[in-house]
Amino acid sequence: MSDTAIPQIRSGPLDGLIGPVGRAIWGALILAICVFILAPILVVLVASVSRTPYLTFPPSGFTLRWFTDLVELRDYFAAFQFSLLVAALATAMSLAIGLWVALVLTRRDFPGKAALSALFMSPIILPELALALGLLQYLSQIGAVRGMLPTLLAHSVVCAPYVIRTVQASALRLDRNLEDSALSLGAKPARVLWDVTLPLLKPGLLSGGIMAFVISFDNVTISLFLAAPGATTLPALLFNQASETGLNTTLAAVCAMLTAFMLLLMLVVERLVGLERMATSAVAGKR
Amino acid sequence: MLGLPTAYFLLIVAYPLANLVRMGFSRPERGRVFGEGVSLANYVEILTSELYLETLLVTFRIGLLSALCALALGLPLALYIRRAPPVLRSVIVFITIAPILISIVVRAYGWMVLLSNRGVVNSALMNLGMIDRPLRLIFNETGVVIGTAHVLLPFMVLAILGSVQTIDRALEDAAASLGARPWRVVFDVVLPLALPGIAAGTVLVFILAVGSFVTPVLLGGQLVLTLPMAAMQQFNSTFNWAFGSALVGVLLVAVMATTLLFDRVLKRRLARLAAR
Repeated sequence: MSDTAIPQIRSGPLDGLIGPVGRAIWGALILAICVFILAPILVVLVASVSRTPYLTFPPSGFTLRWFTDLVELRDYFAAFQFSLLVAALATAMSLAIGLWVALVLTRRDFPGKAALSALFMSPIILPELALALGLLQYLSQIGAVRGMLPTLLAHSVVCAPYVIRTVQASALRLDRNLEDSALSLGAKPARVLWDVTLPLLKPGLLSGGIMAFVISFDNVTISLFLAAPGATTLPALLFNQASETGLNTTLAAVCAMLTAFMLLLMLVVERLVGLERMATSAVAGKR
Repeated sequence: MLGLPTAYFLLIVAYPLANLVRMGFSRPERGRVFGEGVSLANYVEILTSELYLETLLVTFRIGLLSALCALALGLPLALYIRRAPPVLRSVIVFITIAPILISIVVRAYGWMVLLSNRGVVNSALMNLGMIDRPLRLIFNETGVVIGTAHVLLPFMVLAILGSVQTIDRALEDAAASLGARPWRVVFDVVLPLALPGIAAGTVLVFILAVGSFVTPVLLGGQLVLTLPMAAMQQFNSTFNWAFGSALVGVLLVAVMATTLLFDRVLKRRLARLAAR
């Protein structure tokens, strides 16, 4: 950015005020905040290879036993598979909804557009518990049962707003002349959408799709109330176990594996779109 | 153009919520899950019973403290990220944003390992001889606030960065060249311009904290009762869904009122303030 073009007068926000001592304190504060952010995540990885569920200081010995107890872990693997399936389907659904809504919202003007836009964004602000309990009650009233379908429907509306945001950001920057030339050269509208519009919206679809996958995959509340008690998602199963038993070695191992999976996904995200770009466009609606 | 997606959102989001609110205004029937008729009995009970008033108070206190904690941690981070050298900047940004991808159950579990009576923090402090008895850091409001602030911190940083990154560097340089001390530049130039982001982040964290349910259950033990937990109890164990719906109704009103107040009043005032 412009940082390189302008001669650096101050490099830190508080530089000059403070001198070397102050700068050291400022640096230590930032370091402490980073430790606060990382500590609860890293400690799970350490706890999973510790002999006791309680991590004492100094640590009490190394073991991989909790990862090899396949009988204990069987339910968690089943839940993991269910989570992957739900997240993949919810991502596909929210991509379809998000693409549709974002294109219309950026390209058309019509009365009530602001209200409609608020409706599509509302699942971000509304408490998830309210959505989950609302659907649970409605389903019970019409005699439907909990299971994968209601879970999926609820996930799709919770994830779609993120796709709408990221695709809107891409669509605003899209050069409409490219579509117009394709149309004037005789391409059918569907072909233009597939061959011109979609490739140009790829960054937005990718950021939104990944965010949707993460939001669905990590969701606890909706899965807890709408999935069938026997066949639920991994985070919901973990939540139930953690609230019943507290610290427990099997839980630590599963948490560690889940974290490793997410770290892997983070690397993919960083390569494909960049974590910061995904977060700013999906969460803050920028770019 | 948007008929189908609109119908879908009305069916999955709006109608069930309206139905829930409607149920909150019904009279609970003994021994039945759903209520009957129309009445204000549920709301009267919530607003007159000591237990539920206390629950409301606890919920808002946790929301407010979580927002303030996230602000206290997020503002320095955002200010640092804004001016850090490129490599350091990407490292700090990664550390800030990456937790969004880590399951909130895993993070709550991490806090349990760190903060419980026999946990890392207490055993370290005791071994160092700094305390005789473990500090109660978890299964109380302290634990819930720590965990909630941790979960919502990335949203705070992203909100503040959104307003802080657009500040024209020339403004600060102008203030500095006119002789303003650096701390005056931060307080008189940077912070006023960052105020919309700070306010947006604080309101967002408050709303999300008040409605959150997973972290309070895991880090509050069964000892901290918040509004979402009270609602869940009605649905899952007491089976008085009418009353549970009314509790969710109170939550919805609180969230919507906060959002509207922010959008209609605060945002405009802040914009005017920043323009000066």
